[in-house]
Amino acid sequence: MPKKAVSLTLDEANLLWLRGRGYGQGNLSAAVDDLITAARAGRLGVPPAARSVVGTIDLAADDPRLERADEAIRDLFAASLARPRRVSEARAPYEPARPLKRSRRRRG
Amino acid sequence: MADLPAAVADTHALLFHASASRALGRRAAAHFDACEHQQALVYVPMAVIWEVGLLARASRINLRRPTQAFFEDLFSNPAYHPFDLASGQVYLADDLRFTRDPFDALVVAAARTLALPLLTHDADIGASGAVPVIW
Repeated sequence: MPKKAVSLTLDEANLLWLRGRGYGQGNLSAAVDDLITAARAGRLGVPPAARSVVGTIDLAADDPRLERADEAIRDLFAASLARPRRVSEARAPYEPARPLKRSRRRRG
Repeated sequence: MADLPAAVADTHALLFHASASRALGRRAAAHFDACEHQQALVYVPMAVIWEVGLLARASRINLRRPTQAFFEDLFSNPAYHPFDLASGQVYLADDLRFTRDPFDALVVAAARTLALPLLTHDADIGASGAVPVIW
């Protein structure tokens, strides 16, 4: 379908949303085109109701300010790095190639 | 809807918000509160998502559901956006010399890429001046 150049003025929030979706470095026209195509095809649908996460998680009782969080992550990486690096792969068995069997056809 | 305030979340800021902790700074709390009313935006870098998963695995936090389910709940509110990691952010993080913490570097790189302030209480990040901070 032929394209036509238009001038767009978008809300800053919508521009930020597009950037957040990874369109910031790419082709803005293609992004807007994609969105309109999806809307026309009814693929956008009704967004689900927002579910707040406030008050739904717990911090460690002995570290409510997460002051030892970095240490915990360093420990995870240290444990990973301390494992011996050994790659073991089953060796393919070596056998001399067997001669192909000739199919014998019975005659008569 | 124009000119919605927007910011990038550091890991501890997001976790303080989700746990309704009083440790969250006043300005950061106000920003998150505005997000809950869909009057502000927060971008969540991939490094934050990974760090949250690692902290759950290390039992430093209890998400009460799998990491993915927690973030699906968070992103069900259109005020919160995951911000994908791209190579440009990795190069930017590599250039940051004020920290040796790879997560901090990637989070700062995300904020710089979006040209947005960072919701953080990290003293090193604040002192570096690498990004404006909100707390």
